[in-house]
Amino acid sequence: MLCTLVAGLSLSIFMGSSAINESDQFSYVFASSALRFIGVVGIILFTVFYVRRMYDRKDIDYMLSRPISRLGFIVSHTVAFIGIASILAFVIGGAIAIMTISSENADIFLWCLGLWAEFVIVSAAAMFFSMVLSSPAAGTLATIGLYVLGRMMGNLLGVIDAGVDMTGFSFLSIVMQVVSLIVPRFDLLVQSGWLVYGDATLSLFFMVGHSVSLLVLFTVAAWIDLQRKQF
Amino acid sequence: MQITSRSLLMPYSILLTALVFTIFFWFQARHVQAEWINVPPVPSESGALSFSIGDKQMAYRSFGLMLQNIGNIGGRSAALDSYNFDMLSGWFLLEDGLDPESDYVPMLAAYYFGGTPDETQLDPVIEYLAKVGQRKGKEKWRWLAHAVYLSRFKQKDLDKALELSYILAAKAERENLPHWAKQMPAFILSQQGDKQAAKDLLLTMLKENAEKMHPNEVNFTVDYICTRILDKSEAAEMPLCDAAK
Repeated sequence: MLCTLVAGLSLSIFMGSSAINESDQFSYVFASSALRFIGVVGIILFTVFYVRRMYDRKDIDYMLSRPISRLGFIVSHTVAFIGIASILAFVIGGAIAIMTISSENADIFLWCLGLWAEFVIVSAAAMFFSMVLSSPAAGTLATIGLYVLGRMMGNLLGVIDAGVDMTGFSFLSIVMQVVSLIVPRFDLLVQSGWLVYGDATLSLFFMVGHSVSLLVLFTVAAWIDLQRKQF
Repeated sequence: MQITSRSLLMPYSILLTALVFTIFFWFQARHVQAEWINVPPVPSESGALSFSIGDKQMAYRSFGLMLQNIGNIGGRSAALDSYNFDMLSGWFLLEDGLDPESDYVPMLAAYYFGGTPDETQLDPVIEYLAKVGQRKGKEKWRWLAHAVYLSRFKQKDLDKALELSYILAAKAERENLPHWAKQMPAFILSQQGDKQAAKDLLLTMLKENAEKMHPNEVNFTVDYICTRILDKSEAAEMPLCDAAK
């Protein structure tokens, strides 16, 4: 994972240096986008394969035979995954902070906070999907799909607001808006523009509130699924 | 089952045959290269955001780097005058929508694409620079000045240059920009042969703003009137030119 991060950072700096001007800004944007995506994929793969391995090796059966409640099991694993997400966010945030240290405009604090929130939500979603879906590939793809939908949701809602001349648009727009109720707004939580221009307008209240509500949503959903399973 | 060299003969033969075919097809494909089909069609802003999964700044920088390198990848070097500038104009406007603050694409348009030897291709570049140059923002007016430069010196379209220079002068007046930006219409009027209008403009500027101008700017303006607008006999009759001596 560390090698991938170093490679991503190096490649971003190299690509940024080829721009005829604003080379630093290019490096910030490429590095932050690349490391963010690598971090998300790393968390998803680790979480999904860890949970599925627990099921496959019957570790979960053994743990639940001990005096541990199913809620306790879920909460302890959620906290552990949040810990891993936090470490990764700290490493990536630190690397980006060092890169942007000479920039007067970069709002690095809010960007790092948003990155941490994004990683926490992704880890909770990955845990939920890995418990619900029996195949690690399906769990990985489902979580990545949710992540991509979360990044694109702002754009999709904008298309709905602008209106499209097509058959079934009204029905599809209602479906999309209902789906968007439980999809994380990753496009709002972390923006590369904050590193270039600062001027972040996102309120801390929204960032924290949105992240906590989704964390609770996915955690409780995983708990309900575990409650319904027979071991 | 014991593995003997005879039992491996068949797999090795098949492997060798496959290798021969692979090398054969390598020769077929060796010199096949991507074709330069010119500047690609411009996506919508929604389409552009899809490439970067919703990250506007990433989309801006990725497409910007693509525009910088387009036509010069894979050992190829395309002549600037072979580019489709109408399509480029679409890309400039798309990038402008993604990030109106950055100077990267205006710089690319002005100093890279603006270097095309075919001056008839410059219209979309000038139009784009004029649009960006009228925006409020740090030093944005310099792109408008560059649009004037391209119209005047590259396209030699003095009417267009004069129209843009009036816009630049009005912006210079509003935002307290350097005096040469306010004087631009006078320079172009002088180039067009309308010496009287050019002189009147510069004299008005001296009367109203001389105390706010740097002494070098005052000297330049007086020198311009006396040596570039007026001929020797006219300059000899002008008290301003005597005082300058």
